[in-house]
Amino acid sequence: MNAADPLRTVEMLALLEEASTPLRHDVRNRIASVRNLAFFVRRKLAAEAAPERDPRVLDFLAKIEGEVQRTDEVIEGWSTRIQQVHVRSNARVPLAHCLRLAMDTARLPSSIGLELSLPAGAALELECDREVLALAVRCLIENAGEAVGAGVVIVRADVMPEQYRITVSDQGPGIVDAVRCLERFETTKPGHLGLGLCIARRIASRLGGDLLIGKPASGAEVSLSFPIAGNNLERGAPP
Amino acid sequence: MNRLLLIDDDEGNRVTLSALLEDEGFVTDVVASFAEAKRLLETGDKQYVAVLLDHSLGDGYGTDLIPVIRKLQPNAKVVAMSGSVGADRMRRTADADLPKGLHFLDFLSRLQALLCNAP
Repeated sequence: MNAADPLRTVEMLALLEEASTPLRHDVRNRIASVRNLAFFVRRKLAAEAAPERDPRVLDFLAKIEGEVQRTDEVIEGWSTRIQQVHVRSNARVPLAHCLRLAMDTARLPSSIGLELSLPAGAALELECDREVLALAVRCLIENAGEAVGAGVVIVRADVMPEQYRITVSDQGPGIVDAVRCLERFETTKPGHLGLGLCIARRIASRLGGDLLIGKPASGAEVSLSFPIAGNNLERGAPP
Repeated sequence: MNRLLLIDDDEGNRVTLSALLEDEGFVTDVVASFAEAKRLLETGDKQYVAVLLDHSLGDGYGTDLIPVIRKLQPNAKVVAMSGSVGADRMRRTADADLPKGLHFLDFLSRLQALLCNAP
């Protein structure tokens, strides 16, 4: 690893976002429930003739709705600020540059070798931020490296019908549960956060792609797919 | 009859959304888990105009229920109600994406528009 990791900033922000996303998601669900409950109560009160009702009832209900709205805005503001990193400087970027940046900065023990395989004669480009895409690939490389312990991790780019695919494979023990390995904070490695694959999946999703867990005969294989046409942010970023 | 199936493991959302929808004239059947939803779809005899589907159901994922819904309730619109990143595939294969954070009146108008466009 380089002393000054060029992916440090995007990685920190991606970690922050990934770690806070379930909290944001759950809190916003609770907010939606409270908002709907308040709406239900307001509608029922409006339908009742209640001349003796304490006038503060409707006033306090409005305050509840206001507090809910402000809480929602606080959470949304926080998320928006963190997400800004992912839309900072998209451009046509040579895929090979992203892969080499990921490999050069991957934090792996010396017992792990890295091999890169690119399709001959094709200059693959993606509309993305170079460092963000490199971070996604690095997450896969480091995940593979930790699994294999010693050996070779292969990074391969392929041109598929309508999509590019970046595949990271190893000859480690393989992925036992393809669903659980994509759960946040799910890790078999002590001291690890278990967010790497989630970060990679989120980045791929923002670029209109996906993360795929392969089923090789041995070892593990994780791919990022990106549409060749229109792989930009117009598709919308997932919250 | 405008009968809906609401599949969500979140009790708060089940209670509030079904109450609000019933006030709007919908009949809402509610289930709280993947297994319960699958059982109801496979053995029930009711026809739904829409299935409101959360992604993470505790014992399974809403995404995996969509083929079951398409097969057993071919006239029902599938509405994805999750905003989580893991629900991308569900959002892509559903007929509409109405996340839970929407204000009920927005949710309702979009649901009604979807149902108006039903064949």
